[in-house]
Amino acid sequence: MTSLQTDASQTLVPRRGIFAPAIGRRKLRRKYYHRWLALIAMLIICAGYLLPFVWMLSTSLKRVDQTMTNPPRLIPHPFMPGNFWNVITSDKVDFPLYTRNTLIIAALTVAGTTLSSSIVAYGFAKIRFKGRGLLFALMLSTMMIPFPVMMLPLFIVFRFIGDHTPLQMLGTFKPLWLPAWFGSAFSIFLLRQFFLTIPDDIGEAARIDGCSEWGIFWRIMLPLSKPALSVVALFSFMWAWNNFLGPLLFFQRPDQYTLALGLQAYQSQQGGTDWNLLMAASMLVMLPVVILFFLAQKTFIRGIATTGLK
Amino acid sequence: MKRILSKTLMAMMIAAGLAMLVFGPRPRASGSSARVHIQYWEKWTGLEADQMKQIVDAFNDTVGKDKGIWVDFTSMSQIDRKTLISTAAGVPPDVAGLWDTQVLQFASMNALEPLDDYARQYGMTRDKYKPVYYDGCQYHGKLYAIPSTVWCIAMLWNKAIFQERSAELRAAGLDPDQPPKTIAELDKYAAAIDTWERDASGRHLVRTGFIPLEPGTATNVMGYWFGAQIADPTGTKLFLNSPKMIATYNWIRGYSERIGKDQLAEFRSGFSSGATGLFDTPQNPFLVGWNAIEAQGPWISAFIEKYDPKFDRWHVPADQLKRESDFQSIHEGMTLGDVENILGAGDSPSHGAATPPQVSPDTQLLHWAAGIKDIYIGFVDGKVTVMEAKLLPAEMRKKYCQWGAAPFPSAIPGVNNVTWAGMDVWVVPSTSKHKKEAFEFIAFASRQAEIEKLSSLHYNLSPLKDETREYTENHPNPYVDVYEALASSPNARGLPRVVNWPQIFDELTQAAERSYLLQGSTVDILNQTQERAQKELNKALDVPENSNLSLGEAAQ
Amino acid sequence: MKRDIQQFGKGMAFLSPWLVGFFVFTLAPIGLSFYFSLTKFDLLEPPKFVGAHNYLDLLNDKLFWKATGNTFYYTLMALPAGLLVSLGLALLLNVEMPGRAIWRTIVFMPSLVPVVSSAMIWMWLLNPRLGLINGILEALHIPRSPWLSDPQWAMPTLAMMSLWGVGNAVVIYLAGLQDVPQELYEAAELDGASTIGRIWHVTIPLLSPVIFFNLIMAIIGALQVFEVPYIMTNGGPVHMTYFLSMYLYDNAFVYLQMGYASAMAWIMLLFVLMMTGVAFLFSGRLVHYQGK
Repeated sequence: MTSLQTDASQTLVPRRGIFAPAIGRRKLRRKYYHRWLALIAMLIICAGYLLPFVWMLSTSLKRVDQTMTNPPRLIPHPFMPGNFWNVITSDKVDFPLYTRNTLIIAALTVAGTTLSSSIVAYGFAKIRFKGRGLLFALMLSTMMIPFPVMMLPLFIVFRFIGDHTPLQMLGTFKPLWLPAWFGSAFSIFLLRQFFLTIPDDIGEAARIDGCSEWGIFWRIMLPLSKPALSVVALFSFMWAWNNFLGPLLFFQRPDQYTLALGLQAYQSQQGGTDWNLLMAASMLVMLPVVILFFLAQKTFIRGIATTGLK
Repeated sequence: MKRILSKTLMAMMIAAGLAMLVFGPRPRASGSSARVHIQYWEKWTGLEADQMKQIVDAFNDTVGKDKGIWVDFTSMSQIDRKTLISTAAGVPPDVAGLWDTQVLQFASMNALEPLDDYARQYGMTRDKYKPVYYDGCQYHGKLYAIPSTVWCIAMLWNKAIFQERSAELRAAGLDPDQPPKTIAELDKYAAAIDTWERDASGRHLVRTGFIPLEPGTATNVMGYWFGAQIADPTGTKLFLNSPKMIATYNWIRGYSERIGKDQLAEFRSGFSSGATGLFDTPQNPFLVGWNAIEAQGPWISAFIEKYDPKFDRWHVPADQLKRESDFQSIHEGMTLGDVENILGAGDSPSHGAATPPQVSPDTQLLHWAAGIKDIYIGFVDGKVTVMEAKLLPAEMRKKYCQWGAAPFPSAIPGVNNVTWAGMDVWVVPSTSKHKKEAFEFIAFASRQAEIEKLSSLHYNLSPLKDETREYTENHPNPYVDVYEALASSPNARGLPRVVNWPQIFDELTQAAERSYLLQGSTVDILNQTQERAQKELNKALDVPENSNLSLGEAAQ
Repeated sequence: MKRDIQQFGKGMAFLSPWLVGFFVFTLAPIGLSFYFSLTKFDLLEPPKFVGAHNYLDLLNDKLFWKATGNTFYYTLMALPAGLLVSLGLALLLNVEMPGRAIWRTIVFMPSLVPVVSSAMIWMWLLNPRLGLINGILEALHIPRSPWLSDPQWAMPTLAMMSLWGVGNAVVIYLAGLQDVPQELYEAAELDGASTIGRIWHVTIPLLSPVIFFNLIMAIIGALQVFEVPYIMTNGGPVHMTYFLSMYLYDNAFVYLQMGYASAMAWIMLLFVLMMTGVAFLFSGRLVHYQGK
């Protein structure tokens, strides 16, 4: 929802960013000039960003022996939109099953990450306590260890948990989403930065009114942080959706595959790869998240009325 | 309006997601109440995985059912990462599909179960296999793996290009209808076939006869063709800077010097970078004719079928080509008239070279020639009941190939049929809990019928010494006899017997690339490589540094 | 004193989800990996204690230093470029213009492509012989480039490709730009500030916590970059694009020297700590937290 700024001497315009402030009729012309300049720049930039996707789409509509030609051809000939149908109904790759598996993991990851990371980030941002800086540095440094050397230790930990507690980890989806419920360093860091931009006086005022720390967090901080929370939710969804290594390590049976694993079925060791089908499958896998992003943009790119805090 | 639209779409997506969660397909239960479940992890994907799945299903339905064993088959690329980690954490698979490069590595770490007793029990002894593959599975006198699908390297040559350049070849005193027989001849053929163009920016190579690093599969064992040993039989000493290796890399370097380092780099750019490149695409340099000669394995036929089928259908009359693709539209129940409208008039089955299918006495069987295939269609009461497009025997398909295969020439006079023999293998991790059952499955999959089916589908060779006629005739690679002869030759060699071959492999790759770039003299490059590699080998073998012991003693 | 304890208690309460997970899912594996770095460990046999041997070997390992040099070279190119481009794009995408939602989606899409597919697409686009990009260059009468096949150009090419994936950072900036209060812009305008002036004096300082976040993540990302180059170049040609992460992976899973790889990981951690430490030192002066 855009908030409106009115003033007797000014025109009614929605709030914008730095290029077009809501000031003066004289400045309106400059505002429009800026808009079109930005649009042209954007079109050029987007052309560059889109090129790989155009090529991807083109490849996905080709017959396999046309996927690479000399000279390169953008228009598929013969045109094969059936590739997409081929991928969805393939009996080699059970798309519906993998989608469901991936959805389960993604949903649990998003819920866990958003909830736990915001709680922890609040602790790091708004509560002053001894050792906070040290713990924060420690948390950050956990992000800095390359994953390949963590793979085996993590696996060992999961096995240990499985052997010594009633909680079976290996062979289930749990290793993929359970750690998310304990906070993710990336999300905690991000949310902490956002929480720090919210003035302390708001919390102070509520505290004086007798509100508990949890209340401040739940009823004041969180609603004010919708953009940041949406970003965290989006990123953790994306990460869970495309994660390949995790499911590879922890699945036990083919019917536990996720979409990322399913894509591998199109790559062949010795027989020649079906590039057209691989590209078609990749586009299908990407599609839900792209649409999600497109529709959900407003939740994290809305203007928020920080002035309303007064 | 836009907001309502986007909110609706969003709601629809969430609803779809929820519906999928609640009503979507669920993982199926393992499907058996068998006494023992064994895990088989394989690295194949696509058609190869499908074929293996059929074998697994066959096992589960027959021997598995009788003996109470159920095989859970998982095939996924990069499964070796998973195998390593799971085994390290104590939850290994029971049967793992690995490469030959890993056998010695894993066996030296006691990670593999010795299979001698099992193999003896099931009659899978050395005399049943081609020696080079069986020996490659041995470490310190014990058998640690069973070969699954195997291959070797031969020289492929492009007949069409040879014809095109016949003038240049004859001028150099070479025969355009024959492939080179020695390394010296190979170099001459290569120089004669190299085609240059000149434009504003200088001379450019547009086609080569041969360049040593393409496609790169055999580069690091190129020394074999020069008689180099690379490593001693105990696997403790490397000989990367031996005179024969120096000769090998001087030969490699020679191509860069003759063609010109920059021209060669420009020509090669884009061929292969990283894990793949143009090799696994329709622009495979051999298929499109940039290289006329390559050292390549039998899987080239897979690429031909997928990316350029005409390469194997050279000089096939157009109407027969059309018949082969029109065959797809024939189905059961069609009348004779319909079929003849599509394929033309049929003739007697005796005209076909491929074995006709067995049919009941009242079936009228007709034949159509379709290039490299024979089409047989059987009619009962004028309607199609049986239809088959069968490959001609391999021997007869050769004349339709735009390419030929021959042993890659050796540099040592009198030493012929040299090849490098590689393989995929099955192993049983030593920490598996069901070793006996695991081997039961391996034995099943190693039976001649299964292994030949598997190997053919992989466009590879069978590791068994015995071959059925059906296998050699119907193998998708028309030159399977050349490859089979090489694989059985006494000069066929497996990998060097060092436990850390992957690391030595990388060192040799660097040496080859540096030779191409003329970065230092061959002797210097190889000396440095030998020093680094020997150090790495010592580290892998736990030889104490600065040890005065001779390496041979330390290895014991 | 009592207040301190109370505050500590509150802090711990909020941190508790992370603390539990931290011990189980982070500290324990990290401890194990440090232990492995002190051993000779081939994954298939029990680890053997060797003390600091791995670290000493690393110091003498020419390939390790080459990989380190490569990684820092890449970071030096990709980091500043990535920061500028992502911030610039975010500012641009914050302007009201037609189809803004579409442009944002297009900029973000690269982060969603499965890694294997994106590596393949780029390999083809950049193929010196058959790629579309060289084809376009030729049509514009610009000389063709060898891109990834040339030892000198391979790394800059990879750095250039990293700009394709700035979508993540852009989205975070966009979220942060919403928090900049409007009155500050108006006040600056009234004071006679130009567009650039407004960006410099209002947007950037207020965005600095987010910029700082993206800087730290970019440092970590650049120093740990692995999958895409591994598929595209495998470290070639002649080790010119051999990143630390690739040497680490090769040691861990191909050469089966997990101990050596773990030691390398801890040295990489040191590099990251050094760079982020510098960033944190400067953050005191340059990063403004509005709340304070």
